[in-house]
Amino acid sequence: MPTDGFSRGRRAPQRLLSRSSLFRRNAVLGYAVGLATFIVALAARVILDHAIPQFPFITFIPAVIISAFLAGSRAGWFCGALSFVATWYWFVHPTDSFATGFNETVGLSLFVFIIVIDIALIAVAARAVEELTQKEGQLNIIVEEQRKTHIALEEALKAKELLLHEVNHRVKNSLHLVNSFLFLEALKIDDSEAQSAVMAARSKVDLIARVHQLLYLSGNHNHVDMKTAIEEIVTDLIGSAGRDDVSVEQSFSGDLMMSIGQASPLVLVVNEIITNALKYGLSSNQPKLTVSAASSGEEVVLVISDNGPGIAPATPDTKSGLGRQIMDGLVHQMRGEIAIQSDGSGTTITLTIPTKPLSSDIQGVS
Amino acid sequence: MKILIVEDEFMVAMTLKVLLQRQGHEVVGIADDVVSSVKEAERTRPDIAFVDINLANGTSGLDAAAELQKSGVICIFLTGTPPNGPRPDLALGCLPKPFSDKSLAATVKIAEAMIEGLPLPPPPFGLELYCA
Repeated sequence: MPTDGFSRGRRAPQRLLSRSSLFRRNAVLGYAVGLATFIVALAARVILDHAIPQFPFITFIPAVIISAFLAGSRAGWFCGALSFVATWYWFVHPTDSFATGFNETVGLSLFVFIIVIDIALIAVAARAVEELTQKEGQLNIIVEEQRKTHIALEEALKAKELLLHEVNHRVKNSLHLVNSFLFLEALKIDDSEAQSAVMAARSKVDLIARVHQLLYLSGNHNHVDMKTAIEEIVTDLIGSAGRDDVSVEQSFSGDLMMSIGQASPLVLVVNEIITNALKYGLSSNQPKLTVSAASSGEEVVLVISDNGPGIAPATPDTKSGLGRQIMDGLVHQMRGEIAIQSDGSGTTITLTIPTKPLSSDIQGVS
Repeated sequence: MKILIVEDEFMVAMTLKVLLQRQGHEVVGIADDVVSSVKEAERTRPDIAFVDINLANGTSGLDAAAELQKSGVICIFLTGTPPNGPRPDLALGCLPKPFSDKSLAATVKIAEAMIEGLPLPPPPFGLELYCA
């Protein structure tokens, strides 16, 4: 029995009652125990004969109980039968004879009744112990099986985590490869506008690669730390635009871990907003970019503002039209909201993004 | 051809829209879950719908196709996770992602032939036709 298995505490008396005990299994030993206890009881009774002549059975009752307990019903019956005959012959009046009167017959019957009850009770207890032992064995098998299943599940889960981790790493590497292709193709383009378009695509591929890199780094296969993501985007965009003159103020509060489903479009939107700010909004004397992100647990509120001349509201140009369309589409995909405030002293864009996207139009159709 | 796009990844939907427009089709709407696809179909009466399988809000393109089918829209699955086995009851076929521009164009041609009762042109690479 494993020591960490199911157990019933102190077991010595129970083990004696168990069928597997040596005295119960072996018939000869059983009878020997019966005989031995009988002899002890007989000797005790002979020694005490003068002190307690009125109790002919007194030493034999415990003898039957002890033999039944130690070696089972077989030993109990054997000891009982010997005791009965011995008592009847030697200790019941008239002694040294099997003759009896009414009182003696009642006494002998009572003796028989007591030992039958004792042996029966001990047999019942022994059977209960036997059943308990069996059930305990079965329980221990079940416990052991469950322990093995648990270990197997834990290992499978670990393997899955490892695999997801590895997959995120590979996705990142593949995206990096795509990035390289775009770069090499872009080098072949003479037209500078076309080249910068391919480079812009390249930076977007890079953004998604970055999201996967953050997944890989977070050790978590479905959440990304938006604080790190935003900081990296800001640093990268300012760096690649060569805008050392821009002073940046960033503040973050709350738990900004976001699911990959929300993080990817959000990163694209933030990239778009900051790119626009660098292009149009940060042309003043002391350009300043302020980024703040705060999470309430339910939603993340992201405020990005610049102190530039502001976006002229009526400039319907097709390219920025597509940019805006993409931005709105991505915000809708996140089930978020975007608000743009712009005047002569700057532009402030507020994004409100639920941490878990749940749209109101989920009800109805199955 | 009036085409409805049912796709939850906006960038993918947008790209598909531009591709189809360049192939001379009219993209009448973009939807990203079951409810919005039904609404868009009612509003715009498309001839065919390209339906992704995993949609927004945890909804399924199979359910979207079942609803669109009822209003007589021919559905084609356009997905990275095709359904387990053919679903001729829901769609004309399945074009797995990633797909080429050519395969997309040929898939629309097949749907067109289907609607006009003409013999179907051979299916392009990748397209699994459920009715053939």
